[in-house]
Amino acid sequence: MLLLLALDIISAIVAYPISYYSFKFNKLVGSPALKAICVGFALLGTGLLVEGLTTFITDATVVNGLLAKSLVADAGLLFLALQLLAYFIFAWGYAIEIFGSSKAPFDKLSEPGTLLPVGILASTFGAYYDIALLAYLLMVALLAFIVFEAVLVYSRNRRKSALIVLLGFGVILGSHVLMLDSVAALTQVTFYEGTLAQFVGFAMLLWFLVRSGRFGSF
Amino acid sequence: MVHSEKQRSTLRIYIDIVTAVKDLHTAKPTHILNKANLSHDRLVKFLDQLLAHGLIEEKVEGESRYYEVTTKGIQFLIEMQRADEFVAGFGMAL
Repeated sequence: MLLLLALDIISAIVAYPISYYSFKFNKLVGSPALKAICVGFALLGTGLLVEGLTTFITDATVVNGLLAKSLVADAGLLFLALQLLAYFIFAWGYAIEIFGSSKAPFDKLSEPGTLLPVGILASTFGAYYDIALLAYLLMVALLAFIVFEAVLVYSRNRRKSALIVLLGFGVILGSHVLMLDSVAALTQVTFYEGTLAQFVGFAMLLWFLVRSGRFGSF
Repeated sequence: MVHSEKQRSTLRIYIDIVTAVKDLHTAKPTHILNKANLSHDRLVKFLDQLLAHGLIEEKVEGESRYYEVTTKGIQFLIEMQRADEFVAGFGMAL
């Protein structure tokens, strides 16, 4: 569990600086997409911290929580809600940049109340398993869309930084497929593999961040 | 890289001018406007703003006037390169 905590916390530590730099550079660019990335990574970082701390304190992952239908499942659904919201915001932000309109594909989804937090659904219906499964399924779908958008970005600008972001999100997509499989089959080992893969994805985003910081020497 | 004037943001124009001044070392206005792809009127306006921000400095020798990039100007270019690399990762440009 200590390893899972470490992986989640390191991933969160990567997410927060990306959020900060998006905020900082948004002052220069003034882009809604960068604002979305800022908010998205802040939520993702918070979600990962909640996940890591819950796992550490309760000595159980969301899969254990689902098996026991315990409080862990509630906390697990909270971070799933945060992550789901974060990936939705990324997908939206990317779409603004790529498709050139803040309304285009998300007119209805962006209306308040349309995207209900998974936690609220959980407390209403108590169907932890179905909701966790649905949350992971939605995250996989959103991440697949984000990866598709990242492919479009890279095919347009051919910048190495865009390629690293694409690879990062690609690996995070793979990690969520593993986590989906783990939740569906309630297998703990696959969940560990998914968490490890997610960490690798965040490590790639860290590489992107460090690389950007190294730029600019005369 | 100098972008076409139609697409360039004000920030990009600042970057192009400071880069031109840096590359030319002692840059005369004519050389800057060629390198930064600007009309004379616009160049004068932007040079005044860059001087006011302390990113470049004006030197006068006899009748000739030229510009040099300051330390603050170099720092500005470094920060802008970092910003450009970061935002390019998400498909944006300065």
